[in-house]
Amino acid sequence: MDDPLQLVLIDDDPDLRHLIEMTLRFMAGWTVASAENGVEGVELVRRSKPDAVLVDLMMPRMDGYEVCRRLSRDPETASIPLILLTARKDVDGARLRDVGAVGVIIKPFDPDTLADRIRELREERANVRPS
Amino acid sequence: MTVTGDAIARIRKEFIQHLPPRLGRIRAAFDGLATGFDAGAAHRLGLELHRLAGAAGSFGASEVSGLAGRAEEAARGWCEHGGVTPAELKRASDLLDELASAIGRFVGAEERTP
Repeated sequence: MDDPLQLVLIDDDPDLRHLIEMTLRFMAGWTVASAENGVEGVELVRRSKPDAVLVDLMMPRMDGYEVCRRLSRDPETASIPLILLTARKDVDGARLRDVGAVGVIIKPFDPDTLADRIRELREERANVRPS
Repeated sequence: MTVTGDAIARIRKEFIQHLPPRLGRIRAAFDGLATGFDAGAAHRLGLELHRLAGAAGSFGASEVSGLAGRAEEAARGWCEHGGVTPAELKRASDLLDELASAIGRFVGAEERTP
């Protein structure tokens, strides 16, 4: 198994949050901290400095785009790969780049391949960053 | 069953238990629109349907996910246009009936699974 990652998950749906937490903990051995809305999620990321953030796009109060925008513009969190999670298939790629997200995972997702997909997106981000 | 299997099975059971209250919230938001268009109610309806579409698919309830996604599209359209016609409300009501039936089938199938 690859090195376990520390992930912050931000999603307002409790059932899906638990599914993702358990999937990543048990199947990949990762540490997952979660928040149920964008405001708490931004604070959690600032405190914990995880290896990656998985954030739902559509949430009340603060959506996933705004979460990514705030984290990518904060020097303390700008280097953390941000991945959007959404059921919408019409995600605007330009907006995605503008807010600093490295990619999207479309719901429904396959729990068996979720960790691999997150790792791939992290590595793609690492490969395009200037050395 | 393995620890992983136990954990996932428990979460799946919770998801199934939460389906009726989810449907109740969707119905309540929809009923709020039937008496007069309200952008907040339409947004809440769209958000509840969006959550259900995303979660249901990930738990293997693809029919539920598809129907919730179709209803979400309708609700999003009402938000964009700032209103809903009686014909659109009727179509959406029929779609929510289909959604309720699909949830019933999914729950029934899960309960029959040993």
